[in-house]
Amino acid sequence: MSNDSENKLDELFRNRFEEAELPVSDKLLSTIKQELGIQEKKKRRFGFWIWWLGGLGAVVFGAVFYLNNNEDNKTNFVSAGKPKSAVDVSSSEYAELIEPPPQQEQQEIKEKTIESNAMVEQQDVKEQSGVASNAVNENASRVETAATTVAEVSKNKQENKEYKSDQNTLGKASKKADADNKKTITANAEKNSSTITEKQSAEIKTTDEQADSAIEKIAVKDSILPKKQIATATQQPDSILVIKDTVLIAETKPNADSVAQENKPQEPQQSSKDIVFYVEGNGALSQSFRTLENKSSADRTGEKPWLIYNAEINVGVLFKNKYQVSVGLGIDNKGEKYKFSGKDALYQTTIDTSYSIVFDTIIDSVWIWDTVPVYEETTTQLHAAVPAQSVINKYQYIKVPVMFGYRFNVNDKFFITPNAGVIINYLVTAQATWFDPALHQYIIYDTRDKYRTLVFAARAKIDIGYRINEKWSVLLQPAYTRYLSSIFRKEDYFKQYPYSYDVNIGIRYTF
Amino acid sequence: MQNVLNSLFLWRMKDDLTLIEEYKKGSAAAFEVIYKKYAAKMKWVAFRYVNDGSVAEDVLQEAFIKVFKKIDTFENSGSFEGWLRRTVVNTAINYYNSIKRESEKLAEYTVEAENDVNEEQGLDDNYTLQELTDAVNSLPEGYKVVFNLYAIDQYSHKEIAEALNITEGTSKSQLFKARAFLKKILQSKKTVSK
Repeated sequence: MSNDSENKLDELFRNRFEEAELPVSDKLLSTIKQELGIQEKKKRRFGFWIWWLGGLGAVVFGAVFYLNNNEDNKTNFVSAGKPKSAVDVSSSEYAELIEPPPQQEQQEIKEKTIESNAMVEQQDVKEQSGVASNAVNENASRVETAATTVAEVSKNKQENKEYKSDQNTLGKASKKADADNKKTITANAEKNSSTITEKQSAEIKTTDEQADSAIEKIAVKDSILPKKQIATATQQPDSILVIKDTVLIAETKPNADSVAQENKPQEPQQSSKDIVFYVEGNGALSQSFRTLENKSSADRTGEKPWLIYNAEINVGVLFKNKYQVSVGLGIDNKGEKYKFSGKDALYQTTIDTSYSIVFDTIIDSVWIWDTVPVYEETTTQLHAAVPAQSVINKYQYIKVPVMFGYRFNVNDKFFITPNAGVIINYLVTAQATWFDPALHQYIIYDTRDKYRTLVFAARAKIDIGYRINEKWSVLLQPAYTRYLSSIFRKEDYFKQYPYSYDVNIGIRYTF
Repeated sequence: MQNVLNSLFLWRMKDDLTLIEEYKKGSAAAFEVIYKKYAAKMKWVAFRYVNDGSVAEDVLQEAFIKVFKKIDTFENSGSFEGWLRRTVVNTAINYYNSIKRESEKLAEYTVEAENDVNEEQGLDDNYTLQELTDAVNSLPEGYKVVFNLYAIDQYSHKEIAEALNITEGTSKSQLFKARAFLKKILQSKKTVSK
């Protein structure tokens, strides 16, 4: 066999065998992937952003739930003021003020102690007589507490033996006095029972001053607080003195209004500031459409609007609770899906081109310009048959929206803000996907070089907001966005202007 | 044509190197594209040696696993298809070596093939793929393997000798006999069809 015929034989087989194929069973791919440890990513129909939206919804729900149930957020009893002149007696700074009272004062203290005890006893008597007086009871209680506190303070000063000794003496004297006077008080109780009511009503009226006076005297006498401090503490109107943890404080006297105030949830305060800053996050599912020039719709059949997603974060300023300006950063996805009808057979297109020459001539010293057609040319292009294909285009932009709005405050809870503005879009990715029937597979093409890198769009939006509280709001934001220029490069034959309808859900924090 | 491509947005197909890079980064989709691109073709390559569909798939599976486990060693300057094809062939050869028939059977057809070849009668290109396949499959195993390696997969005699653990002389001899046998078969088919 000659070399030529050998080569021909080899070539015959090689040419026919080289491109031949045998169908492969479906399970082989999964077997190989399993051996190689290739894990298939679950197709995220809407990608990461559906989880983002779910997370946003959870955050909104959690914020609403938390803020409405947070104990701290409930309006507590509004004090007329924080404890004033609160002096921590336990501090060494005031230790020197706590000195054993002189003998004479001890007697006075004893008398006042008895007096306070009497008031307590009086309370018991009243109870026995069936007369209830809340105000007197409370004040008696306060006096009792004050007296007890004084005793405790005294008890704590163990290093002062002399004082302790004096206290012991006082205590003994007080007890003796108590014992003596109890009998007197009991004896007088019945006698005075008929006048208790009168006394009680008088005491109700002046009971605050009496209790204050008693405590004040006790505090001064025992030098728990300097007189000056006490004077300051008692200067508040509608205040009562209470000794708590060796500290003399003034609390606002509870009254009906205060109680009502305590139970009434506080309204979120409207910001009285002229300029308020906020930050807002929102995301949306939207329908994307397009207008495509220079291309007949007959070639694009079954085009469907593309369900896409986008998300953004905005920072904004609210002037006088009305004028709103915001700037944001986000991701915008666009796309379309259609079936290219293709061409079944060889077809041709013709392009007519005209060429002209401009003549410059001088006639009677006057320049004349004239345009004369020189020739026309017809160009015919032949195109091979192209099968019908399903095509999906997807492109993603980083967007910077700049929006201006005017707020209408419907009530304390709701507000509506129409917005309009411009979005600057920067192309990040672009790809086309189509199914190749010859290869029986999807082909993905990077198409970034066909699109403009920077494109502008206009957007109109309405913010429908609900204030959870002074800081937090949730928003529903229907919007319409339209690209102002073709997203294809200038030199491209086609002009495409995407537009979309969005419904954004957002949450806003106001500083 | 450009307008047609524009319509389909076919600007640039991802080549094998790009797909491999994406696979190295963990893209399962890239692997699937490569697999779907070459699986059917490579199964045919394997089938030519083992002559059994299920065995050919076993060979294909083993070859793919070998290739992708060593994908990091693939030099981007070479042809991935060529590397994959070689691996498939080598794997098929390994299978063949494991079930190698007695070499005596090769001798049965030697004299007959040499005597019946008509050197003057040429070959045309009108043979169907099935006819050519049948012709190759009718070769004794040893001839078939050598012919496939040399004529189709373009191995050198040295490489064939190493793969099959034979001498270069034997490889050349087997190839000569295989060609003679094939030509005889193809000529006889032509005669019948006429």
